Amino acid sequence: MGRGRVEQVDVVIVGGGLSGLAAADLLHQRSLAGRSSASFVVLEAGDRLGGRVLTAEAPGHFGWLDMGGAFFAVTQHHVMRMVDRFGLVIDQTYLPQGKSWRFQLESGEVLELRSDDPTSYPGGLHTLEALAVLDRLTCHVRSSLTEPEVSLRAELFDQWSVADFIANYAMFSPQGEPMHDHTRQAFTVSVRSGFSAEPHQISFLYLLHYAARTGSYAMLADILGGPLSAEGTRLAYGAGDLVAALHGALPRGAVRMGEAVQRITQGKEGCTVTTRDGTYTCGRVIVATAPRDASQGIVFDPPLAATPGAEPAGARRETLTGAAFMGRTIKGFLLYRTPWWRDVGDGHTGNTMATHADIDRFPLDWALDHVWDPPEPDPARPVPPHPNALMTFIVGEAANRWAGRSREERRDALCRQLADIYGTRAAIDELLPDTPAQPSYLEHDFHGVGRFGGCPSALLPPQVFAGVPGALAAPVGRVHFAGSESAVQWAGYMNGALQSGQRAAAEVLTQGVR
Amino acid sequence: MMDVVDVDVVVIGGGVPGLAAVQALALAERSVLLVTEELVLGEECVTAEAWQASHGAVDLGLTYWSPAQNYAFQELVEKQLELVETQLPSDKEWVFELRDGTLHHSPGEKEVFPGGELADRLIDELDDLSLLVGLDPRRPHRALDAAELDAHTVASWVEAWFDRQPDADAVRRDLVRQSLAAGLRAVFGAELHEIGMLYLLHYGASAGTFGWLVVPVGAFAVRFRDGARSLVGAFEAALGLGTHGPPVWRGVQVEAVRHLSTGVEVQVRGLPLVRAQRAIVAGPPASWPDLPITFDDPALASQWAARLALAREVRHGRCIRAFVSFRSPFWLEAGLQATVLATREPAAGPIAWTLDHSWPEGHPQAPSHPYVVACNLSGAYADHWRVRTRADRREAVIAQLERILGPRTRQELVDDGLDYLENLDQPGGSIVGTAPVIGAGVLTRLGSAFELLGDEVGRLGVASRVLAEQWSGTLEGALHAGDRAGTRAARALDTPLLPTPGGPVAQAAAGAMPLRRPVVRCPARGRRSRRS
Ligand SMILES: Cc1cc2nc3c(=O)[nH]c(=O)nc-3n(C[C@H](O)[C@H](O)[C@H](O)COP(=O)(O)OP(=O)(O)OC[C@H]3O[C@@H](n4cnc5c(N)ncnc54)[C@H](O)[C@@H]3O)c2cc1C
Ligand SMILES: Cc1cc2nc3c(=O)[nH]c(=O)nc-3n(C[C@H](O)[C@H](O)[C@H](O)COP(=O)(O)OP(=O)(O)OC[C@H]3O[C@@H](n4cnc5c(N)ncnc54)[C@H](O)[C@@H]3O)c2cc1C
Repeated sequence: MGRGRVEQVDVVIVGGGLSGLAAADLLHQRSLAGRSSASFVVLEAGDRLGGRVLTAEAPGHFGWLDMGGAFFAVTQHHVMRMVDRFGLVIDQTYLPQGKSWRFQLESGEVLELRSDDPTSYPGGLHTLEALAVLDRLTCHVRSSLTEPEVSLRAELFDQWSVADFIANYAMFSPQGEPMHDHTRQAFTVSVRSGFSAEPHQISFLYLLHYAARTGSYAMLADILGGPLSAEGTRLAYGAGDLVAALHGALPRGAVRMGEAVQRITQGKEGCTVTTRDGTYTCGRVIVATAPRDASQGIVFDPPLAATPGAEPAGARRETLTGAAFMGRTIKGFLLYRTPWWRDVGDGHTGNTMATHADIDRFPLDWALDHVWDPPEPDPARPVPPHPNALMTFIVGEAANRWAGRSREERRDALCRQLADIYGTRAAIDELLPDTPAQPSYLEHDFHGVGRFGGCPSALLPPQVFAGVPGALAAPVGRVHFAGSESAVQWAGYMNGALQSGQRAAAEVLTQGVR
Repeated sequence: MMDVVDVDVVVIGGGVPGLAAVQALALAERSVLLVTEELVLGEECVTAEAWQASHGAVDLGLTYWSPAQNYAFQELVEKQLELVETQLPSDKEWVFELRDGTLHHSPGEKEVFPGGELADRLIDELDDLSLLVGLDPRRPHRALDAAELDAHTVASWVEAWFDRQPDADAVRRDLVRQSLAAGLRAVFGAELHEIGMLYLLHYGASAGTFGWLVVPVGAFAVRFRDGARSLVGAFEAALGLGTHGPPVWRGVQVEAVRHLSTGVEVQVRGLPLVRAQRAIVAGPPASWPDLPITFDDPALASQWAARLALAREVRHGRCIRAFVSFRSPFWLEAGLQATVLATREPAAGPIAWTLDHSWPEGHPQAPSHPYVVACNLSGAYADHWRVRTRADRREAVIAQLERILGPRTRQELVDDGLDYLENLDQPGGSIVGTAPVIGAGVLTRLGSAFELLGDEVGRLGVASRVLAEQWSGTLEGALHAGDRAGTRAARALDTPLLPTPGGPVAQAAAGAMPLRRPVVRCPARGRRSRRS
């Protein structure tokens, strides 16, 4: 229970990730403009800000590697507005026309794909058709974006996991045939890399909803759409630049780190927020975390479902957060002397998909060129001495299995697998010397570190979602909810975090802080 | 005895929203009848027949869209249509002809509006406000400061904003006013004083931000290569409208719509009585008050009356689209795009905005007259010039292009009588309707009606681009609105959850072509990122 000091503010924001910072930013900007006088604090459990955004340094090699959220599309308007407002420097994903990429199948066989001709491999046309089917289904969800639960066949799609959709694909297939095996594998890789979970774990309706909030499944999964795709653009100095800029715009002392919220008590007159070391009384609370309340360690008093006057909203939220789970990713960067993949054969983009059946030996799901080459670098900052990074993802079941092994084992397995896929020892030999002081393989696993539960975002299993309209965003009494998963657009992404934070702050401002 | 036709759903109105509603119902395997007073379907899609052979597709109505419009993109992919990108070469300049006749040149890769820093700041402010209003896309009337914003037209709001800017002297104000008016004329075909400020922000938010709305690489980035009519034709073919698919009654007059507790009856002059489970009204809001509808239940009648109160407030923009055809793209040699914004007094120059409408260079199927500039006489310019003669308009448009693009304008006109075409030339080439426009005060006064606009009144649904949560007012919005209404009707009909194997859903994707989302240049937010 809370001891020590008691502090009074108008609004307590729980969580110093992008959503919490965006909520605080809006409150602060409104008071700078003389339009509000709401006082606030941000309470962050960890010893750093940014949450699922974490920019790390590889000393001596490369300054800015995003271990968490990194990429965005130019239609992530909230992110783009921040880029503009703070003068952040952007870099584009390497996608020259006419280069190829590679896809390692379950059998270990490697397909070569031309980036300007998606039908250039067996099954390519089927994959396009399946994408068209998925995006037609996404369109029905997208036309009622704020009410996915009333979209066409919502109940069916929520009974199904993504794996059930794959199994029942013949129903949707123009030829009445099961999903082409290469298509199934490509779709599985994209589900794994998009959600860090396995197809059988995720509600198919949730996947459609997620795609609808992104725009389309093609934009979510296909880097070839350029600036419109979810992996088209990143910040040259890391997404941490955005966190620092938002933090820098807040008043001094508004952010408290190492303050894990344990309890939120709400009554008619206001709320009390309790951390290990302190107590805050306030008019309203914004909970800006991933929607897994129980495991974020917050006790609601009364329980959300018993909040007077807000029982239905509270109950719906409890249903969702009780069922939500997070996937697992070990995101890493291999730092090379040269971008060797660009020179394999007639040239490769570095975009690599893999779904090798023997995950105990071949853990890679997805790799992407991450060479640092911004068109307009900041002259005031150093140029990384070794900018030739290849980003790697080990996800889902492979992440669970490989988490128990050593960093060096993962590094070696990834290099060997890439050498296999590209048929060149360069994937092993070109790696910079990997020493404890100057590692050339950096990685991060959000699972079990801090209060994240996993990554990249909370997911729903089948049979929960269809019955709970708008629940993640709905306030329960005086407690409001931000967090990327509650966003109307780009839920689960950095943009969703910014949007949801602003939405929660706007709710608090329109409803009055007291 | 009277003939009776029984269907699950009757859709009244055959524009894009109506077609999208029929498609959603067909995908849900419900029976549907489409009834339209017009003789053609997709009336707002008008591709000039007179020029089709010589110039390729020239669109007199709905034309532009954006690859960020995912529904339109899905139609393109499924229906195997082709697109062309609007010619906006970044190494050429675009031109703003100011009221006093001065030409302001701007580099092609930047959006530098007259008014400089003040104009930039205004765009930032409008982006911020639209992002705020968009936080709850169905309820702009509940946004932060909604009442205050809605009290203003765009014209009055911007004056109040100027008063808060220390550097807004009379000269800069005038330039920025002209920039904003020109930009919004291109979007709405309306003037700043006609548009409610809250409505503008809601409209901008639905497209992403205000900025995405007004810059060409945003909402004007692509068009259908074979014209907007090719979209309508593809709908008709894919759905088998009037053939093996849903029946269509065209050019008919709806005499009565009776909402009963058991269903909806639609009486069309001279045709059998239609008995449907549900009906969808897919005409524009302005047509709703004329719909001869009766309700069995007074509560429903009053719900409909509340929708009508809002429908009566939806006005439309105006745009005369005039096309000029040249022997060569001479403007490129002069280092110019054919992108123009202009704010002369209407009498002194009819053009509000132009875009290059040429066929892409080197295209194998290029027509004999590939070089076309689309000139738009929008808002006050349409009002002024619609009552003049065609010859007057032609001369004035060409004279103004000559001032802006240079003396070669006249020399390069094609000389076989096919140098000028406008939407007033063609039957169905309406100049009204460009975008729905809602004035100040309406959204907050009728907010609950706005919020509920897309919800059914009993068995009656509505589909209009005005109510789309995304890309309101555009082709994309029309597709969304139609899909939503069709989907909701299908759900209300206990549609079996499992689609028929090989049925309509499967067939829809049958031809998905090997097509990539074009790698577009986008409104580069971040364009001013190195400014500070
Ligand atoms: C590996 C990975 C890759 C990703 N890639 C991308 C990408 O490429 N593009 C993209 O757009 N998005 C990406 N994402 C997702 C994106 O990073 C997140 O959606 C976004 O950062 C979430 O922000 P948030 O504020 O909603 O939540 P978080 O970032 O999780 O912030 C919540 C904060 O609350 C704190 N907190 C939790 N409980 C308490 C408590 N009881 N008391 C006090 N504080 C508490 C946490 O410590 C945390 O700092 C990725 C995420 C991961 C993990
Ligand atoms: C000159 C012009 C340029 C345009 N340019 C673009 C553009 O570049 N990009 C873009 O996205 N959009 C453009 N539009 C808008 C486009 O027409 C609409 O987005 C959309 O297709 C129609 O949406 P709506 O819901 O407002 O229906 P409306 O267009 O208002 O009406 C839909 C249909 O209802 C039917 N109807 C009309 N009256 C009645 C009645 N009394 N009873 C029953 N049915 C009726 C008609 O068949 C009509 O086509 C343009 C429109 C015009 C006129």
